[in-house]
Amino acid sequence: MRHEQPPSDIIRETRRIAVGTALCLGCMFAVSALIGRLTPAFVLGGLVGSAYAVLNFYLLGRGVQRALDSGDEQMARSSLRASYSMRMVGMLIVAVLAFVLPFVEGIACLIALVFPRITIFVLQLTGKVKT
Amino acid sequence: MDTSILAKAIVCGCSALGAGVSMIGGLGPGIGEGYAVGKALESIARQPELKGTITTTMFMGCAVAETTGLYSLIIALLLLFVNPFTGLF
Repeated sequence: MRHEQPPSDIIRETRRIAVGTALCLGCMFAVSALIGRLTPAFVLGGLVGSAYAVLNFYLLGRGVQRALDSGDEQMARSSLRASYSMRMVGMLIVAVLAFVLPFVEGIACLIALVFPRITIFVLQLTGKVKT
Repeated sequence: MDTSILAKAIVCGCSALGAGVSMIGGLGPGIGEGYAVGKALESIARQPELKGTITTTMFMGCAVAETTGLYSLIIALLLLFVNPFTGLF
């Protein structure tokens, strides 16, 4: 079995996104506590959603890296499309489980899935990332 | 037949249809990412010394592009699990 070391760029960006996601999660918990809706199910939903969001970002980075390392354009396209489909299915499973399981708040999970995008938006605004 | 049951059935059916239609938005990011990685490979072939920068920029761009698919997934799940229209009848 081959073990590939993830490139440091992916680790660095994932760490930044993880920090931003954690900050957004803290804000969400603070707001829900203010409006009196902070329940254990809400906390668990938020944690599950943000954990999957960060994992999704890391897997995206690995997918992009693998696609670029393949060298062949057609192969790279197929590889990235397959990676996208698999991550989307994973996200669907996590979100559906969050709605079906009684001890997890589905809405909190769905909100947390958007946190990496908010983090990237803030990083763009501060000029720390260019897309 | 009770009209409120019929109305609820119509709303549920339309919501399921809407959830399916909203997932069409999930197709775009896959196609866009494939196109972007093709162009990134062309750029790397032209300037191999910029591979790190191109990879990082592309992967942040892919994360942004993927949000569209995520939004459509969220709308589909909201229509299926937290349907606000069923409470109207």
